[in-house]
Amino acid sequence: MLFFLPVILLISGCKKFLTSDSQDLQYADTYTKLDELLVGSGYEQHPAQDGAYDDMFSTYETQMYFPWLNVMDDDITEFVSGFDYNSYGRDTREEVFGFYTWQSNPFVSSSYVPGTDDMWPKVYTAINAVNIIAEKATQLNDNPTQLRRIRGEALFLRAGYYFDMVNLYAGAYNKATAATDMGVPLKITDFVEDRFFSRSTIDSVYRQIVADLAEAETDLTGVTQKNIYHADINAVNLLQSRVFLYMQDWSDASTAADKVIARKGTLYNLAGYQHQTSFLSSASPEAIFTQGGNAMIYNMLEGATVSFCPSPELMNLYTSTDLRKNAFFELDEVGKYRYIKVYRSVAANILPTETYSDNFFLRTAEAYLNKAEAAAMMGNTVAANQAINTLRQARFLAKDFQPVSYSGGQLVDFIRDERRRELCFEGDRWFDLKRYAVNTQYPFSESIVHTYSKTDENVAPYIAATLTLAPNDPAYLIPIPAPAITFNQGALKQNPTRPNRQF
Amino acid sequence: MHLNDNVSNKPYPFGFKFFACRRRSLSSWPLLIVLFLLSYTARAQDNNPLITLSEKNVPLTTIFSKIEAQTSYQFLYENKLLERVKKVSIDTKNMPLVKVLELLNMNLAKQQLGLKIIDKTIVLKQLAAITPIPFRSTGIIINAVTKLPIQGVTVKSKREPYIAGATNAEGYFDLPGFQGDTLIVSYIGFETLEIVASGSKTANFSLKPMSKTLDEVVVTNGYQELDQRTLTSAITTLKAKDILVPGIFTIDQALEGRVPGLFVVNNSGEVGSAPKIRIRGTSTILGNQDPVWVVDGVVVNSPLNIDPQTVNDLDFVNRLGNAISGLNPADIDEINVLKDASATALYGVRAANGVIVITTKKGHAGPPVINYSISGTFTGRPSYNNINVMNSQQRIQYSEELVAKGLNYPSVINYVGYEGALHDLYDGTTNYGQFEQQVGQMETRNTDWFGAITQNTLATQNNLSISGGSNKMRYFVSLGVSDEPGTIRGDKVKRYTSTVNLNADINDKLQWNMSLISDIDQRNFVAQSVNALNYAYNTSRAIPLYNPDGSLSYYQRYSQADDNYFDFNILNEINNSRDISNGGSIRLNTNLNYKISNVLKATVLFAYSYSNTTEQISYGANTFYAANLRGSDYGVPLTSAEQYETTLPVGGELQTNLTRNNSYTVRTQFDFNKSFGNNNINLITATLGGEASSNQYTGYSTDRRGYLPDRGETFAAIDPTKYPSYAQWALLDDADVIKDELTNLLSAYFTTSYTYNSRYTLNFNTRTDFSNKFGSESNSKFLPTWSVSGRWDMAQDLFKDSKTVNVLAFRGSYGYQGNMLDYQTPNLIIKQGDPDPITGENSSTIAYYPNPNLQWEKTGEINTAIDFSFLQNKINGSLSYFYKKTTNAFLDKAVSDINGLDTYVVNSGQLVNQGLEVALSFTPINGGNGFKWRIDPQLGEVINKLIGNALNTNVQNQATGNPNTFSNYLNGTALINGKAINSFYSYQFAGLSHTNGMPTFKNDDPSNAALYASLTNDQVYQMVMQPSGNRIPTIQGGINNYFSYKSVFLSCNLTYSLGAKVRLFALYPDDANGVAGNPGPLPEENVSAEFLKRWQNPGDETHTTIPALLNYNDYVNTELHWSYGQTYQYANNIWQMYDNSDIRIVSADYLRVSALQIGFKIPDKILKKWKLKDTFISLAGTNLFTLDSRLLHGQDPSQAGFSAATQVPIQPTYSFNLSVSL
Repeated sequence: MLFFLPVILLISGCKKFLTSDSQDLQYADTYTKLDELLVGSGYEQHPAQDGAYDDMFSTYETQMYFPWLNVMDDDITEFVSGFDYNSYGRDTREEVFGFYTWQSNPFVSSSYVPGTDDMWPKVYTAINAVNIIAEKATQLNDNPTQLRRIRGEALFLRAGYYFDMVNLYAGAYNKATAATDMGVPLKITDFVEDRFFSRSTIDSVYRQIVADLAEAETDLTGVTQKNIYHADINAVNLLQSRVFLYMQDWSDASTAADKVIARKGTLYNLAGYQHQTSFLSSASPEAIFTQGGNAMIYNMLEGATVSFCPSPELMNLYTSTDLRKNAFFELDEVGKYRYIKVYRSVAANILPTETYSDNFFLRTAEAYLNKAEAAAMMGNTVAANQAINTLRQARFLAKDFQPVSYSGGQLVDFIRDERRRELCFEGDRWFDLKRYAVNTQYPFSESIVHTYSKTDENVAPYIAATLTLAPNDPAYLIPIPAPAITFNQGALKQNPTRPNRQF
Repeated sequence: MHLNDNVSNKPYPFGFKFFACRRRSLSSWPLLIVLFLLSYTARAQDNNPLITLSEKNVPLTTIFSKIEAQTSYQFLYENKLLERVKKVSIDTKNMPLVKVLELLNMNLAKQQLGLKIIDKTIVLKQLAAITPIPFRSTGIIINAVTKLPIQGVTVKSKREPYIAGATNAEGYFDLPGFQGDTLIVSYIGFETLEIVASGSKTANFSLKPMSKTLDEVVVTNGYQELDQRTLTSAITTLKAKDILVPGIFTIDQALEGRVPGLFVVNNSGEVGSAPKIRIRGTSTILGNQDPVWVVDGVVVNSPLNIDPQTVNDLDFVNRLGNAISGLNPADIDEINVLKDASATALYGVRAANGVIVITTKKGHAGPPVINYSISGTFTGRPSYNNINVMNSQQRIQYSEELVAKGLNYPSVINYVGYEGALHDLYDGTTNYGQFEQQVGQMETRNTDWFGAITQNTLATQNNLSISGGSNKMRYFVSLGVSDEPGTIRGDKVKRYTSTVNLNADINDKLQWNMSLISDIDQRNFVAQSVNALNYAYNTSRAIPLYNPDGSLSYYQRYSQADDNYFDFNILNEINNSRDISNGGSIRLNTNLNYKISNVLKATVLFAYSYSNTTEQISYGANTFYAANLRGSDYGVPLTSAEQYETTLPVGGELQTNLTRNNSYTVRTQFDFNKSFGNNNINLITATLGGEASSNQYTGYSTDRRGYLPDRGETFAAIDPTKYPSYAQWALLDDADVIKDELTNLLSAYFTTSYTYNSRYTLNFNTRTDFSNKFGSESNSKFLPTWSVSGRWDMAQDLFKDSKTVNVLAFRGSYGYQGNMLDYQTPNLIIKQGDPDPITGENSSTIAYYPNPNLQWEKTGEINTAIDFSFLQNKINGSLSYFYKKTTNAFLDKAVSDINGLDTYVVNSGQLVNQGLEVALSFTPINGGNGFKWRIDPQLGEVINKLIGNALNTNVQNQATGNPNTFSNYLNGTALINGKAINSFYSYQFAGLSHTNGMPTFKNDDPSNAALYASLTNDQVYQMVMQPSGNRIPTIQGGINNYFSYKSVFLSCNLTYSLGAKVRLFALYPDDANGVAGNPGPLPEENVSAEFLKRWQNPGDETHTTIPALLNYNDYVNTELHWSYGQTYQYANNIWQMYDNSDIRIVSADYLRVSALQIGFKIPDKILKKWKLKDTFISLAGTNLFTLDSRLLHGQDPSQAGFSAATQVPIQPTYSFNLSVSL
């Protein structure tokens, strides 16, 4: 009997003995684990801003998403007031040099050392995480309600990521040619595909986005939002309205915007705005959803003499009574208007404890703008004016507010300007410029001019280059990363060559 | 029975006496006469009459008379005996007389009486009357061949009670017993002999050695004992005493050149570092390539869990020890190296790289034998004698030319040496006279860095063991102390070991074995980051070590991390940067063997081991390392800005890494062994077992700053508000790490073999494992390891009774092993991360993507061998060929990053290892008592090849889809189709430029840019580089010689290694930023003396390959390679290319006198005087002489030159050893 004892002990303890064990690894086999994964790998991470130093941009840059998205358009320009002896000529333009100057390889340093595109793999990593989460949520069944929510959030995220990718690496949705225009590779499976990828058409990418959002809408119906960092049905509807707007599907865009307005129509009345607070915040009544970090607070760093500032063209769009001018911008000690939608000031010792994205902050104001634009395009002038006036009412003191009433091209132009005033530096302008160019009713395109100044010790700053981005310039498309092109051996086609703007 | 000898002086010479019977009363007649008479009178009766009796409780005499009545037999007895007999009952019907007597005898046995028919008389006799005369059997057992006495021979009486003993050193035995006892004499390796000792103390009995072939030896695979005569697997057996020489401190060092097919790669001569061992090549790429170590049947784990990728790295020096570092070689009896699939199948998937089974020493029955041995080993330090670098004067002249050429240094420069003197002259600190004086001093300085950094060492080893025991209980106890200082000053490894082995036969059926092995291991090294030997190699001899006043001389050395200069002196670093590790382990191994029946045996084994290793790496406040973190020189107060920035305000740093290993194994095993048929011609053996093993590593790592080792080893209190950067480091960046890793394994194994007529053997082994690893839930869940093997003893069939061919056997095996990688499962594995910084929600990331299509990696191996023994066993040997193919080999395949990851494990490779192994043993001279010479040459060849069939490799010679980089190609870690693992590539040197002496390379022209951009990276690398060979040898072997003449013996072991290639040390080592290929040596750096032969003038390129010193303009252009920044970038600059070019490749072939030992056995006469037994003294040397390529210029073939760190070369050692037995 003695001899069989170990055997018996083992067989009885077998299951426990052979349970997979690791210090910190787990099978994703419950909804809570999928939920954790959604937080850790699905959503864009929002780095904590401890704020001990003001030159941490390069540290945080790797954690951010599209830190360069807001420096390519006509809302921004450089600010160079001289060599900064205190910071040894620190140049906040450096990190985004290739984007601001529309270099043929935008990931190049100012000394033309080639860099690599870290955003493409990062976003595809996130896309694959949500692919897996969305699929896994259908396989598990330990809590159907929560799993449905998880799947809804995952699909929303997938739509959001593809929306960003297709608008960055491919052209705008042009109704006539979308079915043949090259979009980005679409991968929605939950397993590794060992194959060469090619670019799906813009149309199929959009159709995937629309489908994902539709399912997300169903899945998230009736779900109470945990916090602003989780997508809810309002986020889904708002993104839907934006996507339809881009597709020039005006009626669907209007319907989706209406849903948001109906549920969460309250706006942040800027009459109550306190100086040195963040306009973008979870306390704002119009905040719906945010994810990712904020590079703008570094791009227009307080007190930096070699930096960025809003373009005069943008600043001129605000009338003197427009409360947004001082809620969104502040004149800093070196005399530049700087971005303060998220308020951060080392001088005033005000450091944000939370992070609000400069390219993925969904808020109600956009629903009014989307609604206005869709209505205007459909010829519903009344509704368009009404939506735009509702928004503007919250942007002026009651005494200064004057409702507008436009129609036709004037109305569309006004809504586009209003969109610029309202959504500047939230990741919209670059995409908007692209889509206005292919608008079937009111096409709009312009040339953008960016100057680039050199600063050196003992030499006054001088303009080294004045660069122009012409309409339909190939530089509107971010090049597909070289490693992806090489790896896929011809299956993945590159965008048209961007002009060489070396100087 | 020997009743009739020796009658002389004994009163009753016969076993028993006869007295009166019923009819006739006899006096004390001699037995023979009585018998003769009786038999004569009762001749005519029939032989075995039938008897019918029915008696109850009657006296014995009644029965006697009834039988007499029915037969012609008569009873003869002594009346006195009848008194002891109680009444008897018997009931028979027509039973033969013999049977009836047997029945009666059963009754009578208790009274020690018996009936016996002697002719026609039935005698009642007293059995106890055999009482023999007390007697002492004595004699001397000698070797029939050498005529020398043999010690330790077991002598045992044949009848009960068994009395056993063993011979002493003179071969003398002395057993209590009885006159005429038959004794069984047995000794391993000799034929068993039965003798009757006369009692003479000088009588010699010759024990014949068994034919000295491969047979007779019982080999073990850790689970079973196997008879070598029917062995079907590839197992090499070594006796530790045959391979150990003084100066070897761990057993793995002694294996080089001893086992064909086992390759030992010593990548460092650093004290305590473990060599790399490969058995029959490399059969996995991503898994661990080391063999499994087994001690007394139980797998032993390394005290530290180092991941496979690190262990597989040929440049990784494991100086904290491997699984058997704690084992005292003196306690090892035998080593069995299991090589083929049949031998290793019982170990399952872990054993794909072979298994090394160590058996520790056991006690033998006999009086206690005490053995004490002491050895001292001298190791010389490396010196400038065989190192090809410049002396001070050459170095100063070289600097003068550098300055004259206007060669601009990298922006970082230390103003020391010639450049320092010049700098002082330029800025007016010194005048020209002082400058000249300084330069003159430097030219003659010739600092002996090797003398300062390295040391000659004397290592000692002391071992004391006691063994002995009775027949029922045997013991072996040993204590060992070894103290091994390293050639780097301050390095030292100390080890204390103890071993207790007990074997007890509790009764006929139950046997118990226990062993307890423990060790304490203290290792004291200079912290690895100091890289002391590198400093000795690479530092200019014009730099002083000491000031004229005898204090240490410091200079300002550049620190890349801080972009600053701090005081540096190598001795100060060595003394204050320590890496001290304290380890201890204890291993208990106990098993019970129970003999259920003659054919079935059961074993229960329990083994437990615990080890604990604490490594403490400390840096004093006065080190360069600390200055770097602090941002100021030692003793210089921090400015307020520095206070803000510093991460080490006070004191030094202490890093602690603690690892505990807990493991246990429980095993139940049944062994079946049955012979049957005529003459037991068929033999079946089988073993079935189940095993559970658990192996857990726990531990933690901490890093603390503010360490004050010289102030009571305390930590300074540091104000976080005053030092915010330190606070950030301490609170945010410096998280303690806790490790916890548990591996449980549940296994079942079965093996069976059938032997017919001891000529044909067939064997089958299988095992399956279930583990708690994440990889165990793979797609194909169940895959057992199995093997079939067979043996045909051809000599018995084909060369029966041949005197020439004694043994000729063919062996063959085929086996199959599967391997699964940890964490590769069809399921998603997540890694739990920190809570979200803002919302506090738990977050996780993807740790391992689901890999649903991954199959097992499968290795099939064919082994064929011929074992032979010719000319009355004068020539023995075996010849083997193996072919090992790993299919579905795991490879990290590059996949499109659109999948969210770059690489993914796929089954896309095939690995083929094949090779020949030759093991021979000759005894050319065997002069009995005189001269003897034995020579055992060994050869093992392994050829390895990777066949990748990864997706879309339609281009010939394309890599497997692995993300190879150009450094992978250069250091031999690239995976390339059709190439052996560890193959490396080099740039193709195309001569020096005629105009300026700059090196040029084939296909290295910027005009290729367009072409290269259109090719894959691997294609580009293969255009600019060409294969240079392999880092692992293809042939390794040894030639072992043993000579003896009377009491003197000499053994000499030569090892050789062929087929590996190494790079010469870099001429342009890393610059201060760690970038390889630095053309301008810093003033503090020495340069190779090869530069003396450098290109000086156009035309020199015809007779030199050493590049010139360039002028400033040319030099600047070489700082970055033209392909820099391109996706296909294949070099840093031409200097790095030069160091990695084909002209810097040298063959690493060597022939080495790896061990030489001369010993002298003290003659018995002297020993007797001192009451000693087996005593000898010996002188030994290891690595005495190495024959290698002269192109190595003093570089050791073990110093591969692939990594920036220079390893300690293998140094010769000289030892003295004294071994005494009591």
